[in-house]
This record gives sequence, C-alpha cells and structure tokens, in this order.
Amino acid sequence: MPKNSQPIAGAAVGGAASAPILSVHDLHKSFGDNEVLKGISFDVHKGEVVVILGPSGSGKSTILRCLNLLEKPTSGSIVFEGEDICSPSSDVNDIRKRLGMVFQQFNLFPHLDALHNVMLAQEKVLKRSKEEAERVALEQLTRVGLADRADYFPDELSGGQQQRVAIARALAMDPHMMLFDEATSALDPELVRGVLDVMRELAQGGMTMAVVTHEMSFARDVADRVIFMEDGVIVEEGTPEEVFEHPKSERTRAFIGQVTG
Amino acid sequence: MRVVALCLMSCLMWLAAPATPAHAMEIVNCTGRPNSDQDKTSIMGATQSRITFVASIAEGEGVEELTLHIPDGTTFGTDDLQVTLLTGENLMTRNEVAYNATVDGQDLVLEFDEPITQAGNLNIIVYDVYFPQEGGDVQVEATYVAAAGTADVDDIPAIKVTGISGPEALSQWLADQAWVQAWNSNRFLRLFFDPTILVTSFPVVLNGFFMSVGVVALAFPLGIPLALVLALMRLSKFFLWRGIATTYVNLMRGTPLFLQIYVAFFGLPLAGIDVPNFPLGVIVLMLNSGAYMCEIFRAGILSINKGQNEAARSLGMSRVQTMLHVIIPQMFRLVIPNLTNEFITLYKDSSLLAAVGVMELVMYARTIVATTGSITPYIVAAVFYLVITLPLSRVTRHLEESLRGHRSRKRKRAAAAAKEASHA
Repeated sequence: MPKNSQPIAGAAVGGAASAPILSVHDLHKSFGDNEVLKGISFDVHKGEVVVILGPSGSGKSTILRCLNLLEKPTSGSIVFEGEDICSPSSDVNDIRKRLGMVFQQFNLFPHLDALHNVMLAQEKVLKRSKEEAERVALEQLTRVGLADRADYFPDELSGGQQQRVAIARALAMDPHMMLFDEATSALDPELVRGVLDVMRELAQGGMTMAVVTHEMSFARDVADRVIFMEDGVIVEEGTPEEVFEHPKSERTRAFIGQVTG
Repeated sequence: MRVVALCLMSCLMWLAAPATPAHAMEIVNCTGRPNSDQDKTSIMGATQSRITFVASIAEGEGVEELTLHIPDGTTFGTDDLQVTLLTGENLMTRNEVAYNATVDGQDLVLEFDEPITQAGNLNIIVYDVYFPQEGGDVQVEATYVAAAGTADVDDIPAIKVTGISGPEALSQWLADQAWVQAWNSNRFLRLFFDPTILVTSFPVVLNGFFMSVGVVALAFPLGIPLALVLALMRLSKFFLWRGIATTYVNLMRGTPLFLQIYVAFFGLPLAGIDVPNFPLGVIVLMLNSGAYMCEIFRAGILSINKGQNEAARSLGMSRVQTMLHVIIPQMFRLVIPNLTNEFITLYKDSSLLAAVGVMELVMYARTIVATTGSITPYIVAAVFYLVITLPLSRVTRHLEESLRGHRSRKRKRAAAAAKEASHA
C-alpha cells in the first residue's frame, strides 16, 4: 500500500521547487496565559498531503483553526497563496472560500437538507445561480457517494454520511486547499472508512490537504509528509516512512507505539 | 236608521266625518303590550305579549260573532282570553260576555252565546302572543256578524313591534323555560352562569374578541422584527448599540405594561399627539412584547452551537449572511415554544387596554355587567380568552412537527414516484 502514495509524493517534490501554497512561520497562539502554539513553522506545497499527528492538547487543531482564521494568531505569519492572511488588510472571507474546512463535529446546517447544505455558500458567497449551485452540489454529493441522500436532513443521516456531506459542502466552493480537523474522531468505527475513502480519493486527485487525525494507517498510506507535534511545538517532521519507521525523537516513538499498539 | 242608533261617544266622530258609511262596530283601540311584570314601554318581537282589542258597539246591533284575524308570523293562545263588555256612564260597568272561541288558522273566532245588544265597548284581551322577531307593523283585522249582516271593523291601528336580535329572542325564550328559572333560582348559578345573559352577551363580547385578536394579531408580528433588531443590537460588538438595546429592554421589562399603557394613552394626548385608540394600543403592545421577544431571540441565538457559526464562516460567508441564513432560521425553530407563550401572554395582557377605554374583550363584558349586574359576561369573556390560548399550545406542537414532517412527506412522494417509474 505505501506504493500508492509514491506518485503523489513525487508530484509534491516536483512542486517543492516552486513557492509553497501555504507557508507558516513562527506561529504563536495563546489563550490567556495558556500558550498553545509555541512557534510553529512549516510549508505545504501544491498537491501535498500533510498529516499532523500528536497527543490531544498538543495544539494540532489550533493550527488548522489559525490557518482558517477561526482563531486569530497571537504572532507569526501565515502566507497563503502569496498573501499574508494575518495582515489586517486581508479579506478573511475571500481567504476562507479558498480554504475548505471539515470539522470533527461536521457542523452541517440542521435546517437544510443535504443538497441545500452544499448549495447555500455557493449561492451566497460565490454568487452562483440556483441552477448552477444545485448542479455543483449534486456533482459533489455524487463524488462523496451520497447523491441519493440529497433531500435528507442532517439528523436523518449517519455520522459518516453527515461528514461526507460536509466534505462535499467544502469542495463545492472549489477550494485550493482542504483542512481536515479530526474528521473521523466523532464517528463510530464502522463509519470511519467511508469518510477516509473520500479523503483518500481527494488526495489521489491532487488536492492540497492539511489533515489532523488519529488514523495512523491513513497517515501512513496517504500522507506525503507527517508532522508530529507535542506541547505546541513540532517535534518531528518527515515522510511517513521516516516518522513511523525511524522516528528520531523518543516522544514520537512512544506515541506511535501507543496508538499502533 | 243606524245613524240614529249610534252611541253618544262616537256620534261626535261621525259628525266630523259624514261621508263614512255607517257601522255598528267601531274600533276604539288595538294595542300590544309586553306581558312581563317589568314595565316596558316598547313592544318587542318574540317576546311574550298580549293584544288588547277594544271596539264600540251601538245599541241594539245584536253582534253575534267576532273574528279577529291576526297576521302570519304572530302566534297567540286562546286559553285565557278575556272578553268583557264595558257599559254605562263612562263605561265603568264591566259585564262578562259568554262566548265560544275557536281558532281557524290565524283567525280567532268568538261566537257569543247571546247577541250583544247593549251599547258599550267590547274589550278583548288575547294573551300568550308572540309577535314576529324581526318586528314591524302588525295589522290585526276584525270581522263581525250582527243582525244586519256581516261587516268589517275599519281603521284598526297597526301595532308597532320593535324587532329584536336572535340572541335576544333566544334569551327571552330561555327566560320562560322552567329549567332556566330553576337554574337561576340558585344565586351562584344566576350570578355567574345566567343562561339568558350568556346568550345575549356572547354576540356583544364577540365584538371585543375581534378587537382584542386584531390588536394582538398586529402587535405580535410587528414586534418580531423589532425584537430581532434589538437582539442583534444586544449581541453587537459596539457598546453603543448594546447600550441602547439593553436600556430599552430593561425599561420595558422592568415596568408594568399597565403603566406603559397609561403613559401612552394619557401622556401623548397631553403632549398634543393624538393617535386613535386602536393603533395606539397596537403600538404599545408591540413595543412591550418586542422587548420580551428580544430576550427570547437573544437566548435562542446564543444557544445555537458555535460550530454552526464556524462552519458558515469557514465557507466564506459574512457575519450578516451567517446570521440571516444559518443562525436565525435555526433560532426560530428553537424559540417557537417561547414565542407561543409570549403570544398567549400578550393576548391576555391586551385586556389591560380596557383601563384606557379601548373597546376590547373585557371592556365589552364590563359594559354588560354594568347594566345587568350579572357576572356572566365576564365568564363569556373568559371563554373568548380560552378559545385562543388553549388550542395554541396544540398548534405549536403541530407546527414543530410539521417542520419535521414535510421532509418525510417530500421523501415519501419521491419514493412513490420512483416506485411508479420502476413499475413502468
């Protein structure tokens, strides 16, 4: 299976020559006295899948939320597609529509059916016509295998189906990069696979992704690069092979030993 | 011959009208009168009444038979007819007349045992008369048979009957019923549940019901946008908006509605601003309930999961778009029960407008209470409050269910269509 990721890794290497799509430099984030991120720096290149691992409370989710400006970084810079998104002059909504985000709790709009969940932001943000939004929505729902659930409301869908609708909702905005914040953590084990399959297909399709997850097999199979962090700092960074097979740090080794048994 | 035979009283009349043919029997009076103990001056339809028919008879005419024709629509009884002949000086002598009464449709036929030959006034009282409910002129006709043959009594004046409404007629009818009288003999029942007042106050209080419902049906929906704006102001980041909205809400919720009504209804005219009662009532209730609904909306917005906001914002939607398309639609569903309670409260509180003379439910009831002394109209008013407040909770439940139900219906329809397609 690791062979699977080879071509994409190759593509990422090819892209590495050009400027990264996302560049995080010395990112700090504090909630009051509690410093959650203590100087994080990393780059993501076009088409690359970066998986962020680490024990809970290590600040993984906070990184993604900072990338989307759901949290305002305390200091440091985030450059996305050549634009410093932390600067006051940046258009937050414009950045967000290029950065799709998938949440642990799905956060589908409960008053809208699956189709309209996917249509809403297309119409309001991208100003697509109702017809076009519907066409795109059906296309994305088909992509995540839920075209037949278009008129279901969120509370009528299983957790896995909801999460796939949420992915479709983000994809419908034609994002340049996708952020997955523990997308499978709230799911029953038997529902995890469906979501991971969708994410895997996305990765193979060349989507740039930053993924926070506890799914080690996913990280191993799909990631081009794995970042292991603890206590707000990046402890180790490298290809899945490097991090999983030959971890340099004792902490990484312990963590991987724990989660993989 | 007959002219000579006329009695003294009518003689003068006949001299004044010499062209009129001679008659043996002349009308003196024909009147109706209510039969109740109360002194009522007007004759009303569908009310137990009596007809008094008085005609003069000349001496020696030998009247054998008299037929009173009472027009259609008026009913009468024959059980206690009173037939007397008043004779002598000033007609002070009362003579009983023996007769045999038969009824033929609307004709009351009186056959006298002895032909009346004495001069005098024949006085007939028909009891148990019910004039038509709608009122109008009731023209009684009379025909008599005398020795000289058959003739009509001319120029009988019509009885003017005042029409009454259906409920009044029902009330009159009820008042005559034995069970109603038995019911009303209990002081408590008569005071609070008098059936005769119940039926008459219903249509009157109904006017107030329309007024009350009208005031609230306008004030409540108008209060919703006001409340939404206030709620968004209270949640705003700008302290000025927050301050204005908070002050307003605290003022309106911290003072009695009664006081607010007084200030508006007595203060504004003194300030030279004249607003008619109805719109002013609507405005005061709207301003008051807007403050309460603001708090309902604010709590509703705050209770929506933060993730909803984050999901919408992460898709690039602006704060306003998120509020309009994601938060507020969900908020409304959450607050339906509270909103219903607020509507019920507002509807009940609209009764306070009675204090300043708005003709709403309680006010109408009060006017009847003032004239009848019975508390029954207030009970009727209570019923009019309950017909709105009791079903509302049910309606709310249905509303909540239907918000859910339309989905499954929609799906069922689609499933049925698919099934049909597969069969085809």
